[in-house]
Amino acid sequence: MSNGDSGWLRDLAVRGVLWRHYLDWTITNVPFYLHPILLWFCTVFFFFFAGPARRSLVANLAVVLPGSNWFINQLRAFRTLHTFAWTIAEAAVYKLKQAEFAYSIEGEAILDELAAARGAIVLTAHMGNYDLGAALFAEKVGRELRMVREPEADAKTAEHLQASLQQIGAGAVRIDYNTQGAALSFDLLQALRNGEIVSIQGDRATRNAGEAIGRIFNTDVPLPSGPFTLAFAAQVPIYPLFIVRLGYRRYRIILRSPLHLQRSGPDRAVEISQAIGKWCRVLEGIISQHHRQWFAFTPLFSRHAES
Amino acid sequence: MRNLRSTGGPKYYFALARLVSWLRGQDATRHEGDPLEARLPGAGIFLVTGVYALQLCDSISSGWIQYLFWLTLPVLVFFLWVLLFYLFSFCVRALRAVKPFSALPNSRIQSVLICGLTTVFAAILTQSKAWPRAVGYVWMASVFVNLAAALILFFADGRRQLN
Repeated sequence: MSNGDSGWLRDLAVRGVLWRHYLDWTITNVPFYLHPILLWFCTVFFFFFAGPARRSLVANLAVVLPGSNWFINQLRAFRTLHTFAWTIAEAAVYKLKQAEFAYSIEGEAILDELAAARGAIVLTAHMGNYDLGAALFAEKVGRELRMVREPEADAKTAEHLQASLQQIGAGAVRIDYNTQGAALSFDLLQALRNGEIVSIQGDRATRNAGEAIGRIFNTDVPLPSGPFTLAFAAQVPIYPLFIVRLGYRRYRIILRSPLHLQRSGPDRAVEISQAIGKWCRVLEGIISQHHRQWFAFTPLFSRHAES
Repeated sequence: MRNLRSTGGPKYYFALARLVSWLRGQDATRHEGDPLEARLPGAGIFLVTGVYALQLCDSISSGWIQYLFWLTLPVLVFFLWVLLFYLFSFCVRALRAVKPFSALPNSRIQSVLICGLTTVFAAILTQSKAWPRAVGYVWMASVFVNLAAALILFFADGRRQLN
């Protein structure tokens, strides 16, 4: 994959593995009371060097907060990047130092229902600390979780992330990448029928997966159709779940009422379309409330479809 | 599976706060979970280093070089510390051979080195005039109070966790 200078430069790129190694080294070697200042400086660095991510955040914020000021949105983008830095740093702290984290649960009854479910899809978003959240969830409900992720652009980063997630999840979180196409769909369907819990990020359609157009903030947005098709085929509920950062080593798990796709409904397409509509309402509500933690580093809204 | 649970009551890292906890009959074990402790000492280290660097620059340069230095000071202090963390990591490896340090995690040994160097900067600042002297004294007083609290904890609580 990597050779010579191009490999070295790739490691140094914004999505390169070098930063992940530097983060791990810092967590192990630098006292915790210097982390906030280092994270702040790193955010300043990435604010300027991760231009496409910053521009995407600003473009998405313009839709989420209509009429918002461009300059203020730049500051909001900085805050989002800073929160992102904190979440990946805290995931590394958990991985490397086995530190304690405080958490609260919003929707505990729904979590109990999910823990007892025979087969379920956890639909989440690129929000808060979803890596740490997966481990937290698996530990809390005492069940194994299969996590479907978008592959990393850099192979070494993907390798590092895979190892980190396995270490964080202590074997209770299994990772699948949505590059495997139909084979993964059948595998996940089988897992759901066997009563397993599958976690999928549902706020962004990816290149290799099927998509459906949803509507949030009065704007059309391509969303992954896979979770809904799977839920319909396996006849399992979809549980919207989000993990947001409240402060220094403090998180909240937010659960919303499950979405049920019934075979007895009018027809499959209508049933899926209605479920996507409900998911869009949930997503819109959670993004409105926690837009500073929505790590939407690609432009998600189709401008031409605005009404 | 590791236990990822609520942290419960307040727990602290620095000896002074742990001593207060201990006097109140609470848990005085070392913990990195307090948000104030995660921010304040780091800001203090950067402040002392920045003021020391400012003093140093004022004494050796003037004119536009001085203004340029003032503008870039936060970034220079950041890079200075990043370089020092790297250099200290070699000291940590060497110190691992010495008995009291062999059982400590890398970050704890780095903490001793970082606070030691900052205290040297603060001690130099106490010799200067006007407000930089106050910054030096505040740091020195914090270190002194914290060391005293560590000694009290060491003898009274028997936890033997010198900071």
